[in-house]
Amino acid sequence: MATLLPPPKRQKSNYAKSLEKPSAPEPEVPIPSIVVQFKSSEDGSNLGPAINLPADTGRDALQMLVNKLRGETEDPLPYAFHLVPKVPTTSTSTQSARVQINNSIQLDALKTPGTTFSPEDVFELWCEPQAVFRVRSVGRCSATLSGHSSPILCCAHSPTGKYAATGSGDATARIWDMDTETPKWTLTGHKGWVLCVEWDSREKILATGGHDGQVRLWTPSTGQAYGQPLFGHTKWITSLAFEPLHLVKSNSSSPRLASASKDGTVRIWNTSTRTIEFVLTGHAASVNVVRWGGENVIYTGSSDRTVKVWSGVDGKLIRTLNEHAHWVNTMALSTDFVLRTGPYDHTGKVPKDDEEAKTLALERYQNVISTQPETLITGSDDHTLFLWPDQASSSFSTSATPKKPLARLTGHQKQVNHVAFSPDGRMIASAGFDNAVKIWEGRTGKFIASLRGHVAAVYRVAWSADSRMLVSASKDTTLKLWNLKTYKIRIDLPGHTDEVYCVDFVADKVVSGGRDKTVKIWRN
Amino acid sequence: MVRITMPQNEYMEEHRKRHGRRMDYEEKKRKRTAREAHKASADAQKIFGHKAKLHHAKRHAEKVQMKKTLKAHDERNVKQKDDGAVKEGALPTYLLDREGQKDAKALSTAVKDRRKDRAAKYSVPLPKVRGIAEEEMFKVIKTGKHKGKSWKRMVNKATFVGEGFTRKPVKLERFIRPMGLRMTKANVTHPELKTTFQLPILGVKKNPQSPLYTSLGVLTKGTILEVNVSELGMVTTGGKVVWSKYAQITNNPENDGCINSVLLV
Repeated sequence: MATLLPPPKRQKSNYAKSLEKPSAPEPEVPIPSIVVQFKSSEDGSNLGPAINLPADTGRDALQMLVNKLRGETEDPLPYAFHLVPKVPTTSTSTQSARVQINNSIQLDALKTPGTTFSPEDVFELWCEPQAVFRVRSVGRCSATLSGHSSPILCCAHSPTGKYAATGSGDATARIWDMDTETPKWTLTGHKGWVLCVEWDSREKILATGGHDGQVRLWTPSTGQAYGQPLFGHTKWITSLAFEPLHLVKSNSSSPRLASASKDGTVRIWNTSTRTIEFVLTGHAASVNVVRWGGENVIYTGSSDRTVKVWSGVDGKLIRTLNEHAHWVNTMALSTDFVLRTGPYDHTGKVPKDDEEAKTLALERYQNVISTQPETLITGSDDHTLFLWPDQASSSFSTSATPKKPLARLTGHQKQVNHVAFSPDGRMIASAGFDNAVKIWEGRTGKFIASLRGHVAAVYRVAWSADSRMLVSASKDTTLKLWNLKTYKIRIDLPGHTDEVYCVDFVADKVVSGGRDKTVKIWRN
Repeated sequence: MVRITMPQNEYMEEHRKRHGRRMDYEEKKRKRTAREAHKASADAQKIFGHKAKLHHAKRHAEKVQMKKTLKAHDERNVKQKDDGAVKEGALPTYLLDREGQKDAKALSTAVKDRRKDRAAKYSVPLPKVRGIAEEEMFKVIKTGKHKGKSWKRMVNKATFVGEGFTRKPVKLERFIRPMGLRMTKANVTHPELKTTFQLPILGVKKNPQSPLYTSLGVLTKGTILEVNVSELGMVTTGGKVVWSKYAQITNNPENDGCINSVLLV
């Protein structure tokens, strides 16, 4: 006869609780007054003098202050604030290198345990302007589109976000209409798996590269092939890159295309005449990734551990960067997003003709360049990434020699699979086979935070257009949307039944495809 | 004195060129080749001693080869799939050259599976079976001119021999598996669906009585078989078709004349 525990006490209902008198309020703790120095994160300069503020000033009030100090009261910009703790965090490795201010300095810095702030310091508040528009958070899978009979290997959103193109192992590429979430065209013709797909920035040409070594051009409006396939490569195509719109010469209407292949060469094609302009040879092994920079410079990363910088005018080698210790898998430019979307931005304005499109694209490009020169980041199998200074010849006035990297980003425990700059160039996200996504500062390469949550290798990452959201696709069949204020998972997007190989984020929709042969569209 | 068996010069060919052959050469040749089969058979039955051993070994090898070529001829008539289709196993560019890399997890599970295999720890529907005595399993066959030798055994239970099976030379066969007791199909019951299918047997995985019976392919109650389940159309999560699974025998096939088994899912 064991003693019985008394039955649990009946809990009071919410109504009963509300009838009670409210308990006496806690004694008021006087809110300290702190000295705040606003610093611009672009160049580290002080925005105005140090100001005496109550510690519980909200984020909106801080934003208003910064806008006033900068004199931008007519066109207020949203800002993100963060503090950098002075004492290096050697004891606790979980604390990130920066403390984001989401509510107020009192709540985020003084009250949270584990931080080393006291009300007597001068708080150096770093301000980062954020995009004026806001992309809606993605929450649900609005459509699952089947049609491919083989795993989907690559996907790309068109610059306006109206269409998405996917390439698959069944040798076809399909174009899907994003507004109605239905299939539009099926592009057949390749003899092997379709490995890469790229849109040009005016949405007039779609280029696909295959396992058979062919590059094929298509017109997305009619779904027909745009001329004969481009032969020349002897092995499969690893990467495609279109020339930026503002560099296209006026006499030729369509941008040139660079295709990188496992045979170690990169071929530059003239898309209107479908001939080879020049071939970039020099790599000793497979060229894994190619990017066309905004200063008419072509970057190529290869399995021979080097990154080569070529001139886009005549194809001459400018310089070779060999600091990596293993294959260079992936590469990203800070101007990637703006070059890919060309003249289209969040206002939805459609340029009238090619000339206007070019001027718009040039304007957008120069806006991004003015704050930060075009930096390159390369990720490799040696578990590290390198941040390289501007390689174009126009900026040799800087003290750092272009051959020496700005920073070496270590921390991944396995190979780095994908790296992506945020559209405003302020942050870098890298995905590795060690199940982690790491966020780094875009300007200096300093480590910000590690996003853990995936249980298998992370294959791809994609930023939203306002740089506030990050989505990652992984081998564990899930996509995860990350909260960049707390560096934790915001929304988990399960639904795929097999590994997710590719993801893309443009406008307010995420499109993903994987080994389960379905394309999923996620939206608000 | 060493015997020389081959002609030392071309005198035989010269004679044929000068004088031709006998009138009935073609007929004699035809009749001689017709008699070859009978002569070979009579020789094989009558020879003895060292000559016999050599002959039987050579004949066994020939028989095995002949069976293989016959099988190949049969497959020739079956139509093959067109090879213009794309290869399977599509991978994105960043996974293309990474075939050789195995995850640590895959390796450790492979090692664990191998350890389990060796320990032979499986959970099966019939964990214990009745022990079968050798007298019940084998019948002693007496051979020899005076039926004095009794080293041959005939298996009394149902057996499975496999598709390319060729008997050992009869003189050297210790265990005889009679053709009447050889079975190729099993009635396999799916434990959850409760339906029964007749599926071809691929092989005998383990006979709980003794490893000797496993190697002989004896089918008794409790034996684990491998059956061809492609007919059921099961697919793994990765999209691959499952075509073989294990099943355990639940009846005594030598009494019933058929094999009833349950699928191990």
